[in-house]
Amino acid sequence: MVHRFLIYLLLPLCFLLSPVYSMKADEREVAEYEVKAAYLYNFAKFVEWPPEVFGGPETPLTICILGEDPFGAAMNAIKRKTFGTRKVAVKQVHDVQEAKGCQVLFISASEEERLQQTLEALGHAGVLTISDMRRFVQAGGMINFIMKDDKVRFSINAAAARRAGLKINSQLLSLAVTVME
Amino acid sequence: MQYRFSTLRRVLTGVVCICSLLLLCPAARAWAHEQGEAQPEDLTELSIQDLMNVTVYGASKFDQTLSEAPSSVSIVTSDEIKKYGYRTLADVLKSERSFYVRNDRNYSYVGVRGFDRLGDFNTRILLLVDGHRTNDNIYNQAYFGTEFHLDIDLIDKIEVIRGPSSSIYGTNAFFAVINIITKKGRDLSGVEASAAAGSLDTYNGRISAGNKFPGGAEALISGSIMDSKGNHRLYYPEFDSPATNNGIAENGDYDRSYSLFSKVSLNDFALEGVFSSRTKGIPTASYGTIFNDTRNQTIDERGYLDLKYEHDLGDRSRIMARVYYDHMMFDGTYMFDAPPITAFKNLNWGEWWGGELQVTTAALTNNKIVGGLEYEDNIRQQQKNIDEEPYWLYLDDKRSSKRLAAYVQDELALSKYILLNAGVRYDRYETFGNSTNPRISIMYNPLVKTTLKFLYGTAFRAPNVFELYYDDNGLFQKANPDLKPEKIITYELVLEQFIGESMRGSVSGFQYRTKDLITMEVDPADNLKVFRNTGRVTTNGFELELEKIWKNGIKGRTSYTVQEARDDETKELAINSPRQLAKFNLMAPIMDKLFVGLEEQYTGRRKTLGGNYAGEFFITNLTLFSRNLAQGLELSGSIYNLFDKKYGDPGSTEHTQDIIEQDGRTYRVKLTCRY
Repeated sequence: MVHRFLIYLLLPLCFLLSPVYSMKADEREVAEYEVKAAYLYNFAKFVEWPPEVFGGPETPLTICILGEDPFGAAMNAIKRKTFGTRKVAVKQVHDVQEAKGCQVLFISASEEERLQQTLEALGHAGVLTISDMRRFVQAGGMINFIMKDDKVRFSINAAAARRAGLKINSQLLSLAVTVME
Repeated sequence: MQYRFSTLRRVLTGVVCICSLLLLCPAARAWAHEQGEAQPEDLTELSIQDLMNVTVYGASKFDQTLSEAPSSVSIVTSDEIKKYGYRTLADVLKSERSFYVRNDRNYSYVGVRGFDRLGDFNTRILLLVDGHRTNDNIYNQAYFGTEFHLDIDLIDKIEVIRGPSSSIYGTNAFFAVINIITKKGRDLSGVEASAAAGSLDTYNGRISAGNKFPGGAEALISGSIMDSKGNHRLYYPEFDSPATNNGIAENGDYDRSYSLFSKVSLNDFALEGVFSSRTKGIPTASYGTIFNDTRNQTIDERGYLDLKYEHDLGDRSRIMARVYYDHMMFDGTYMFDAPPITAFKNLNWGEWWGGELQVTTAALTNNKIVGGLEYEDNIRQQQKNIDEEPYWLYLDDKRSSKRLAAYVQDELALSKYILLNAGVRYDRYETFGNSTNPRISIMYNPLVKTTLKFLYGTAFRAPNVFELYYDDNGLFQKANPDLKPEKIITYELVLEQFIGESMRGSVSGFQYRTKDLITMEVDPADNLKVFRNTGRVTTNGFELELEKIWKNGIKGRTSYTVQEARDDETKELAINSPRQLAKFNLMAPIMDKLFVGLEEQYTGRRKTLGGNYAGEFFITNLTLFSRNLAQGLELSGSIYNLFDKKYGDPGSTEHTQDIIEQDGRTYRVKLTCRY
């Protein structure tokens, strides 16, 4: 029927004629490691370190990356932040000894083979260990990034954190996908 | 009924057009922007809760929670729906491992793991929308084709959960549960309009608006219309004689629908409402109706309101409460030449309401416990059959019934390497009594990248009022109020292996044993059809799947299923069960902003009711999709059945046709604009 055809043809023509296309802020594509970098900074707000880990009130919050760096420029947003009265420092470390000086340590997937030795060597140094390699928390890591529905989530091994002298706020535990005790 | 619908349709079309014209108005645009919340550019300013809701594009990793699911789960995202050009849920399932679809030019019927009995109405798959059960209370039918009441553009994610899930969901979760999760107001953040035009004179239109408002309220509202002339010249050799237009059914394949969807949430409350109506012409002259009479048609109307409350109780616990009200109406017109030519009407009305309460808690160390209670009251379950003129009443059956259920499930981390998931559900029905269904799965991780799952579960399907009480007083069929539920016992072993970070493979072997299948038989005493619990079918199968995500955004997956469904008594292979299925999907960005989606689907030959075979076939679908060619614009072009392969699906008990031929190559162009 002619009128049906015309009516349905009008619909697409309406849009072609209208100069209304506008860019919306939320259409910016967010990259995985931008989100993870933001998490690294935010996790620190929910963790209590033993007092001796921070030398004094001037000591910066040091976030380190062990192994291949997947963040690149995504870390720049973190470098400018402050953590209470402290500055935030981002460092690339090359071995476990260097890593002991960090409060937050992201262990890259490149370190998977050496994971057990790395975690053992860190011992009770009061370092919050975070990674996105598979089954990190089951292996003894503290926080593990997990992809769910194209969103970045996390699991926590509270027991491992306790053994290292760290206290993780229960609010963060309630947001985790899985909590291992 | 037909006249009323077409007037309503024209009014709605006018409304949609007016709305789209309004969108050209700058004032309308300005409003859309004012109301929208600007997304902060600095992610580090977001709280943990907000970070958890940021969608990441081009993620290089698979969904890692699926390995711990106590069944075989696949996820289909709205991004894939766009890039593969899926028009309906049936299109989606045709590309999923284990599934195959049959269409009789009225409804689409889905088969899972070799099982799709002719005469069935998708009663063994539970279809949920945001947790709301959509299977109706007369036929318990799930809608997968154009008859589904939601526009596919409103879908955010589809969870395809294979295997029996009655231990959580109760009846109909027999072979699979398909859980549809709809988009949120914030996903739209403004107004969106879409129009599509395709082969067989098919047109679609949609207007949606949604937003998350400062203060926390979120709303989404959407209206869609669809109008297709269908294949206006269908040839059926079974009717090739001068008396029946030489086998040509003209203008009988029409398909029209409209649907409205709205969703509002504030704090812990969410209210969702749906209404839809779909009219389909039946060109096949099913049930012995007059061939080439365009008055043969079905009208399906469906609506519901669902109010949900979710609250964090602290201590890693949550409570969810839901109350809902549902309505369905079916109006089927079947033209018979008695003589005289009479319109036989099959009319059904269903009304039901119910409530659910669910508590989940991870307070107990290494345990994730879910427990729930469900209550449903079927206020109205009415089946009426009449001849219009001269008037004759064959059936006017009114029923009401209640059901109650309780379930509990625990996911227990037995050790670093073993996860145990055990659950059970007890259902109590006024019609047949009760059914208890357990499910156990053990997941073992011998190596970081390897998961071994052992799954055992049972499920049931309660007899519906059509099977129990339909009785047309000696015409075709009589009632059987003593029907018991169907039962299935399943065993499955799955090996899942991650190869590197970007490739995932899985291998599984399964055995599905069904018994007391409600089968239509003919009673020799009075030659009337009646449903009886007599079917027993065992299916043994093996599946392989491989998925890979490349760094540059290319995503591919392929699967192969080999299965054998055999009738336990006759030892013969089941009807309409392909021995092999193979699927291939590839999605790739080509040039900036342009994507190609390619699908290959192989279905093995299927035995028909007449003892013949619907031949094996390969189908190829191709879609080109672009995003932001002009800002805010999505444009896609799709070709379905690219190589114009001629193929058919087995006809059912009501069809004269043994095999019903399906469409050849068809096209679609779709445009979506966001403001």
